[in-house]
Amino acid sequence: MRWSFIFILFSISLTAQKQDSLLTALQTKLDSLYSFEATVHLNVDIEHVNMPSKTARIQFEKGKKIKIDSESFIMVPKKGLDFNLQELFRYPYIALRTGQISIGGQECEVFRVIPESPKADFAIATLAIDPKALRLVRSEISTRKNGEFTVEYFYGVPVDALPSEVVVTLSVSDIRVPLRFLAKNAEIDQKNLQADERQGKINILFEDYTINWRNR
Amino acid sequence: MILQIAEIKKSFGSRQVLNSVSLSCDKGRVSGLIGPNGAGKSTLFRIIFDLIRPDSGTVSVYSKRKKPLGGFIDKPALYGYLSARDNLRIFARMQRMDLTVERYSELMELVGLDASRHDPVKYYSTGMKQRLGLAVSLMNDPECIILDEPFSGLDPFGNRSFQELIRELARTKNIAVLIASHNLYDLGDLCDELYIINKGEIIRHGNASDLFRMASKSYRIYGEALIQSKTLQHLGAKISTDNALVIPGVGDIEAVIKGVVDEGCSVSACIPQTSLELLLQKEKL
Amino acid sequence: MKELLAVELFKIGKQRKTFYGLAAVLVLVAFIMISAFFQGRGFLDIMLKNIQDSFEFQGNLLNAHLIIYLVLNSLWFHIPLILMIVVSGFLTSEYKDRTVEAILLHPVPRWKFITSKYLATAIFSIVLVLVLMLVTFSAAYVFFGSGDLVIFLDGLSFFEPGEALRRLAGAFLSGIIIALFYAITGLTLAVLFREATITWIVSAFFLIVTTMLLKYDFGWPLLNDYFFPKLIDSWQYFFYYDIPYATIWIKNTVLLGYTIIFALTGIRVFIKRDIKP
Repeated sequence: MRWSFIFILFSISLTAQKQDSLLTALQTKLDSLYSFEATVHLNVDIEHVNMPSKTARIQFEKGKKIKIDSESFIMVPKKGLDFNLQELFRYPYIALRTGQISIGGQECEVFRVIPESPKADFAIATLAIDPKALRLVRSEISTRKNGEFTVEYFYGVPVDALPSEVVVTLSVSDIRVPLRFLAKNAEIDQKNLQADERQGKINILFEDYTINWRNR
Repeated sequence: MILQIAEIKKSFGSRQVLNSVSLSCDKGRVSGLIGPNGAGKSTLFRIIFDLIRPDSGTVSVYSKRKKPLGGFIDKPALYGYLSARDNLRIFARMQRMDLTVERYSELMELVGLDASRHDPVKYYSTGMKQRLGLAVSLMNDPECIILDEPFSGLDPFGNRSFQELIRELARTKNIAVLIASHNLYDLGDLCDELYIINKGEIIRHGNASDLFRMASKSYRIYGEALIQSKTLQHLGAKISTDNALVIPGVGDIEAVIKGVVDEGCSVSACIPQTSLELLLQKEKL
Repeated sequence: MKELLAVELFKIGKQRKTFYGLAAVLVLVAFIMISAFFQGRGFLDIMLKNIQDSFEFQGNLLNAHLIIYLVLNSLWFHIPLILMIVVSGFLTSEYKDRTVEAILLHPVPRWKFITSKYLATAIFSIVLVLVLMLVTFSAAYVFFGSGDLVIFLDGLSFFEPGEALRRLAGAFLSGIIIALFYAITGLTLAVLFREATITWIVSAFFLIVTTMLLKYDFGWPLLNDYFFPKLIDSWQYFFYYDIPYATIWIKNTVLLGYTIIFALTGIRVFIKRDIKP
């Protein structure tokens, strides 16, 4: 009985180490991404928010904050643009493989990442990784202060290292109607406005990548 | 005859303002309409100009001209913020007339105004506004001019010169002129015929000099030493230092003057005192 | 008629009150712009407060388009008021100075005289709104620069500069119909009341009541859709994300219909009425 228990523990640790290596491999791959630039098309899909598709230029450089520039006004999600997961892996963490999941016909390995340091700004992250292409397919992150958000990654062809489309789903607080606003009293669905929070999506399409890998 | 008004009646509510008023005007003659304030003169003129519709009666204008009638009511109405030239241009343009510089100068000269002034009309004197109003009335060569109280607000000199202007227009342009006034002396020398109106009715009409004569029962004689005249004392005249007001009674004024002169008094003037009250009476004079 | 119209426009251009009215409008726009600029920041903060928790904004939203929009919101009470006062004065001053009488002493048909006044009023109103539009846009662009327009109407809507310009211009042009309606009504009130002060009071009352009735629910769809106080907000529809052109078209057409009816009423009253001192 004791030996069975020890064997089970050993198996789990072996499994954890093996899957941890998948996460580590992904981390190593993403870590080698030095910089990239791309043209992005931002599409906001939030209830009660109407915004046309915006085009901007995104610039990523390792170790620096991501830059998105546009000639016109743009709304950039505060979360979900951590392409090399450097925020996730900034502090020591525990990674647990929790199973497999099929996303869009792809079999993915699911990991739960729990930071060991209270300085991390997230409480728990669930990552779905395509083991064959070694790419992140989905991440669900619960932040300590800013709610939860989900990022889905879509890739053009199997060899693409960076996504052609990213969909960030996050909670958006209710759009309050300012009482002293000067506009017409629109027929607003009052009942609908009672909800405190609702889900919003930002769809980011990437094109014209210029990628700079370290040591490639 | 250029203008004929027949049996005009008009009431405002229960108040009858005009009752079967008839009159006519001929070219080249000046007709006067005399009556006290509120007699209906302005209302009649408004009806002639179709500003007010009569309850019954007709207004007939015998003219083929585009603008048969000209004139103004009460005081000429002008655009105070515009110059004389702009005022005339506006009224010309409304009638599809082109006011050339020459025509403008001609009109201004005709009414005795300075064509070189460019300031707004609101700075004009009353007399100048009357003249400009007359110039506006004369645009487009009407055959009949109708003027309501044209002498009001004028000083004696302005009054006299305006009268001369009207007389001149009637004679030289062969225009019929109809003038309304409450002042007998404004129309005395000017009119060829008179209509007397009171409380909306024409009381009498006829040749101006005949009517004045008939309504002149007293005379004011000016001269020297009139106080010594027994003729005047006998007639009960009111004698002052240099004039006497006398009612000849059954005699005529010529005999009275002869008597005063024969007594050695000098007579410099004799002015009939025409009584508007007499004219306004319905009884025969 | 052409000559009469030319005369009316000439008189409008020569009167000081015309320029006082224009100056009042321009000063008002300047004042609203300054006020909008200082309030604009707070206004944006309120609108975007909750989204700011999840998003970063890049770009300047306190720009010419927002300022013009805030000016537009204020204009549709103040401009009709000034317009009604100035326009009614075109006729009440003529009654007072008796120049109505003077004109009708000439061979000028009454209907032509009053119709030319209505036409001149319409032209004046259109020109006023166009000048206002030109001045507002010019000043706003010079002082505040271009950028996206954000408003809250049927949701929080963002419009790119080109789209914002198109919509703002459309709103102003739609506003011409509203300005026309009030101007023509002002002139009709002048025909009815003839005296300046009474006409101003009634005009202001009319404007206040129509503004109040705009938001009133009559409980009867026909009234809610086609009664004239309900038609004076067509310009706002240009800021729905999907512009309901059919609604704008219907509202403006019906409002034009009312404008014509009010004009014809004024013309008829003027023709039938005696011209008394």
